[in-house]
Amino acid sequence: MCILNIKNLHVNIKKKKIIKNLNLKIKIGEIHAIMGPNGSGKSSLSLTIAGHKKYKIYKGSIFLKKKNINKYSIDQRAKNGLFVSLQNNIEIPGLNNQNFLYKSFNSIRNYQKKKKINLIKFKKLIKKEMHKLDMSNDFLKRSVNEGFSGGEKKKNDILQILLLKPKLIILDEIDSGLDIDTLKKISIIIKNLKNKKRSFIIITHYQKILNYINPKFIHIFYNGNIIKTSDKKILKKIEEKGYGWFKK
Amino acid sequence: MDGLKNNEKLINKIEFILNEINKGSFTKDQKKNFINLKKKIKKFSSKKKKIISILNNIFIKKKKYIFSTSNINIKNKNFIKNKIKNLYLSETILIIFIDNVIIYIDKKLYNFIKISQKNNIYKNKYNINKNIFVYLNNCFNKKKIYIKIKKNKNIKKPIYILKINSYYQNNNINMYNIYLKIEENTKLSIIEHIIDEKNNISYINNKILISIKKNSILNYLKIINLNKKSYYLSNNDFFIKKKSILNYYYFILKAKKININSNIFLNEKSKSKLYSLSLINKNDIINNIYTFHLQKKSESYQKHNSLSLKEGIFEFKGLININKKSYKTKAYLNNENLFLNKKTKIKTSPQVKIYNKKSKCKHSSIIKYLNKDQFFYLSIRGLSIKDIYNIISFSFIQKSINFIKNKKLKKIINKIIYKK
Repeated sequence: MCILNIKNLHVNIKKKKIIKNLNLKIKIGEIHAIMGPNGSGKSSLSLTIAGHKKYKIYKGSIFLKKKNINKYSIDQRAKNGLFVSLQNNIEIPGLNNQNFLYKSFNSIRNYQKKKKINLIKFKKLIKKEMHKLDMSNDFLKRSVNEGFSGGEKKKNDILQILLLKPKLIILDEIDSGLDIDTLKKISIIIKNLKNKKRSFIIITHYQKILNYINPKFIHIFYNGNIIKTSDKKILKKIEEKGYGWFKK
Repeated sequence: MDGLKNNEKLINKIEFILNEINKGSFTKDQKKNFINLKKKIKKFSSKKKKIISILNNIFIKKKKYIFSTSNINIKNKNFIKNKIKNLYLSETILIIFIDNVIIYIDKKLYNFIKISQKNNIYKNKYNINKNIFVYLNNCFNKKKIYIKIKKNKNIKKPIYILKINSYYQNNNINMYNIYLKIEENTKLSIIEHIIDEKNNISYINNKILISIKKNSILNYLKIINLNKKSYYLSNNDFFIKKKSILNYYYFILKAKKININSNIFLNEKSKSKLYSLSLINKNDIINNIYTFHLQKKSESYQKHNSLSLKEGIFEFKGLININKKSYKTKAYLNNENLFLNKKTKIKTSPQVKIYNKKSKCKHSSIIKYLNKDQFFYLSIRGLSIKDIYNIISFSFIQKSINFIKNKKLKKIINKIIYKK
């Protein structure tokens, strides 16, 4: 069964075509990677799926668990199990991580008709997850992403995944700005997060993270569409010849 | 209130002020308001009926008694009963005002304070921040309520002043004139909570003069929580004597138009800390604070926050004046505003006037708003627009509450705000 089904998708930003006639199917439990040169439309795809208002779908549809989400609001998509990690995480001064995560956690549970969890239980839960990522307790008191290093921002994303337990996770350049040890740690956690009910789309420029995670399919994105789909073998060719080889 | 008996004299006074206004630089609107007020005073009835029995029902059971002997008639008895029952805080010492009459004082308070009435002679030798509302207050109140806190007392329980505006005399204008004198070596906390009925339009004019003598500490918490139609005007003067400390927190939660003017006069080695939170929610708020460092080694620290939930106007003026004599003075003033609504207008002017070279002073103003990217980030984590507004407001309010270091006061303000 497909968790994500994109049919004939055309997307515009201010009359400029960004995605052109894209078709993509992702089954439950699969990991897909999307690679491609800068400006090819990889991040635009993730933001379109998330529901960013700047990206307007003028043709085609996106199905999440068989539901057409074209007209869903951004939060409704998240509540239906979509998680999008942004390339550059936004800072929100004045709002501390604990309040933000607690509210987010409970609003998703509420939508899914699960019981809300009280703050004491939530604190226990979050501290347990933070321990896995070697995060200090101070993190909860700090404002969301404010003054975070690149690595801390990515760790924050992973912590959110651990808490919110989404069904489809889109990670946009999760490996950028990470040192080798952190990258390895995060890759292992992502690998452990993979299960029969959870799918991933990993957008990246580098093959290191893919070596750890082992995606089933690697899609090469160019000029707003997928021009080639292959398995891990394609990584060697990309390293040797770059993306120019595909353009020919 | 005694002044109201002599309506004719009062009207003459107002006419005199009106003439002054004609000469001066007051706006047309202010003149109109004044004329309307003059008409209302004529209608002001002096009918008073007994209400004490109702209030006795609430309090006699608890072996407490009512202070005032005035015979007053409260229109909406159930409203007041419910309000007092809901807002009664067990860990405080209670004083209740209904309109501008003290109707109840906790017995325990008589160990610490003296309450009387004094002739209201308007003296302000510094001659600053005078406005039309101060004059008006003086016209209405021939006598002011004088509260004196005895010296060498450490009052551990906060004094909770609950001001209920119910308009028992078919009039919606309330004028408070209070003089609070805190004698030497005394520590106390005061909570002033101002409320009114849901449906009445009220005009409240509050004038408070607080004098803190040597080596005393006052924690003063003010909560303004009126209905959407009400007007609240307040003029506060604080005179802080040698080695004394004032911690003043005020929370403007609801009212249609609010105008707060505060003057703080700091003497040798005295300190003042001011924190305020204004919620802009279809209302206009003017917050003026003038801090005068009169003598050496005085310190002032101020943080004024505003949060705009819905459209409105917020005007902030903070002036720090450091005198020639007040060398080695430290002063800090910050105004932080967060917009959650595009239509809100904010005018902020933190100012500093320094007349000596041996002082340290900082002043700043920040205007923040939640941009589209921030909204998007919060939304992709499953928060609806309503959730985002709630969580941002909650965090901002909590940040302001965290300024309160006194644990008891913090507990109380949390109770009051989240009861809403």
